[in-house]
Amino acid sequence: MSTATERRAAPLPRAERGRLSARRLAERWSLVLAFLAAFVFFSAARPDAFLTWDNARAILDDSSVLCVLAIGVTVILLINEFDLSVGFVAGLAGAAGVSVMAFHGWGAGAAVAVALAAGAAAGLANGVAVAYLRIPSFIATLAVGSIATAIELAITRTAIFEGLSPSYLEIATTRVAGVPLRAIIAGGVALLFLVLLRTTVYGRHATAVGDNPTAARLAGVPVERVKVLAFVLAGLTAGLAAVLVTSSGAQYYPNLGTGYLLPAYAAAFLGLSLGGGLRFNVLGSYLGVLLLGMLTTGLTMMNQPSWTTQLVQGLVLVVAVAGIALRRRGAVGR
Amino acid sequence: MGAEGAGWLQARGLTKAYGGVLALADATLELRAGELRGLVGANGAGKSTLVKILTGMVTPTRGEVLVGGRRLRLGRPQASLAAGIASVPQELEIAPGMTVAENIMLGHEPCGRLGRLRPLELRRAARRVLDSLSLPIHEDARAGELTLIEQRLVMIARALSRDARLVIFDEPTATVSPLEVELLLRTVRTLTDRGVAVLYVSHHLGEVERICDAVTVLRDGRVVAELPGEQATHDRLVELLVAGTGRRQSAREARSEPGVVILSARGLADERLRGVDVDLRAGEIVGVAGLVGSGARELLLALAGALPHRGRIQLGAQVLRPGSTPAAVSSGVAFLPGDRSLGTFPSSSVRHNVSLSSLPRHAAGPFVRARRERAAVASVLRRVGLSARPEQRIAELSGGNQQKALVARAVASEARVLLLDDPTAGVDVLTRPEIHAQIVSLARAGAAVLLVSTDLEELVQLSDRILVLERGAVVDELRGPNLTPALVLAAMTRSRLQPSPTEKEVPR
Repeated sequence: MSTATERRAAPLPRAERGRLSARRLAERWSLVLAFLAAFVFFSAARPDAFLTWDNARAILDDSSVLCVLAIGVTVILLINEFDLSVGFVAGLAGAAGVSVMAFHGWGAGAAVAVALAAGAAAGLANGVAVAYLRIPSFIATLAVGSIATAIELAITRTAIFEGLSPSYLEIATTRVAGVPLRAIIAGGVALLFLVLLRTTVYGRHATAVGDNPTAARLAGVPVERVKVLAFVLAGLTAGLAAVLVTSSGAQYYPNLGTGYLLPAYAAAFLGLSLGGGLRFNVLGSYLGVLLLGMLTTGLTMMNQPSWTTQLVQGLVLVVAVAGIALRRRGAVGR
Repeated sequence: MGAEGAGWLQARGLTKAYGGVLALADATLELRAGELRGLVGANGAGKSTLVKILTGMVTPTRGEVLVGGRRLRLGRPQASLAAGIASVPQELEIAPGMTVAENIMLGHEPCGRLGRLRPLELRRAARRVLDSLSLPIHEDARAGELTLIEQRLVMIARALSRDARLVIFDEPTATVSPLEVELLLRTVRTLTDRGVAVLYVSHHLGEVERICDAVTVLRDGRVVAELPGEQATHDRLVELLVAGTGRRQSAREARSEPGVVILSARGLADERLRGVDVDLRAGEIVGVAGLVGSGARELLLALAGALPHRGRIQLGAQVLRPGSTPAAVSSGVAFLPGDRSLGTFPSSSVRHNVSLSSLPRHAAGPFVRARRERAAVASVLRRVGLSARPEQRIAELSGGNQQKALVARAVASEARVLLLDDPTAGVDVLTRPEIHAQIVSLARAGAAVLLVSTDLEELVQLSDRILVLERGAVVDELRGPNLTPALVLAAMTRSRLQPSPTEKEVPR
């Protein structure tokens, strides 16, 4: 038996080496390094404006909507699907929540509940279409997104309107111990999903489905239910994001969610490096959102024209994803 | 063309090494125009390597191929095609959305100036090819709407339309019904009558015996025999295929009688299966033998809940919901594939891979109790003798150790029924007996085991009895201490084209 044990120990050294390799460590922490580098750069360039509590608060507050959306997107990417409807669903959820307040005089709590329910319902539609009707998620979520927009415009008749309950608006203005409530909500959502994916049976099942759906099915994972729940969770985050947007704008305007789709995916892809380039993860997405927010603020403070923000965000994303793709190709050749 | 008497195709000293392993060693093949040559060999004997060298898909380490006296540039599919070597692969490379004519002429469409397609010419050329083979297929039909056999015939027509002088068939009758086999074999004969050489690769020794002019037998990468047609009998081929592997000491000791029936399936049927009944008893290892397309894998997948099917599967007192793997797994069925792309989660840790099927037992509400899970995984890893770190990514392990991790998953799930699909495929020779020992020990602990394996030796070593499947039905059941791979192979390949001998008794 002892000889057998020695033989089995053979494959270990390579793994040990891999674990300690400086290059792999650098790759793993590249997002954190980029984050710190950007922080140091902008702090040095504009110490008076950038390096202040007010600015930190503003970045956290501004990023909260994207943060919540990006976390929902992370779950979808984790199960190896796509959800292109998040922005449209946020628009529908915002319209639904705000209209019950403005047209029917419902309270703030009820409005939030309606927004979340609308998001969850749209997510359910996505999930059923993908998991049970077997429509590729790219197409299914585009279709559901289109239908969501139709319902949104039908509810609101394509109008901008106000008349939101004051306590609803407080969601965006309240601070707890100096920290904006919206930032706390975003952080709380991140924590909740972190716990969900790391410590629950569902988290394991979702990871397995994303890693190898066939193997997951054969191992007894209820693949369809896992997918449906993932889309419902993404819908819920879209609903919550809609609440965060409408409460700060103090008004509803049509298609409020459309601008968020690409940055949400960008953030999740940036966060991929933190999962060793293999796994989408909540912490990475959160950090990715903050990095994008910091770049936007910093570049604006340095009086760069607004297109530079888009340009730099695009470049950062290309570099991050290309790095991962190249490394994966290397791993295959190994 | 070569001199009279010499082969149109002469392959000499073909050798292919993968790492240190010889897939093909000094193989020689000579084919005359119009010859129908059979090529047989067990799995891993080097058949597909030889075929791939001829079609240019693989570059040999050594050796040369002369076509019509001229040296063929090896490792270039285009060069092989230009020299007149075409193949009808097992997996069809047909474009389902295109018409039959477009498929036949694919890659050498008749063109006008500036590459303008000439559709009328294309249809006419395709029609000529179809007519010359007397194929009852319309050239305007959409290829995707044809039956499997018709698609295969279209592939033959494609080969012929390129003026092929050698057509290679790789398992052409797998998944084909008996009547269609006749149509296909007739078409093959039409080819050779027109002076085209055919290399016919098949496991169906009965077919090979019936139609081939000569048969080349490969074993362990070497050409071990070249028999003229009259000597290439079924029995002689079986003998050559398994020579040297003889009878082996069973991996199991004599055991007590198997226990109660744990799993019983009645009338399992789907596209491939035609009413299969199986009873699995506690402590019993039941082997399933069958060629590609016989339904052996489908039987396994149906029992695992991974295939929608008709018929009824009962586990103890419980009737399983058909086509539901979660239902099967939660009632104690574990599926262990040898193809690790069906088993492992490459970017996950060993621990997550092992515990996946048994998570509900380690959970408190929705949460996994990490400490209990870690302890359970550690103990299972010890039990199967895998000394990997639980937090290591499974992709970092060797193939054999990954397979052990999958065994560990089955052990951890405390399954009552174990479904094994080629459980040692791609596993090194040292790990193989360890995995076999685990399987035997699970059976001894009271699990019912169903083993599908293309490795006949493994099947004979482990099984208490062996079901032989053909065209989706159980056609034979072999048992007894004198079982050998040769006997199993004979039972598997006894072609349905001939009336099977009434005497099928296996010596006890």
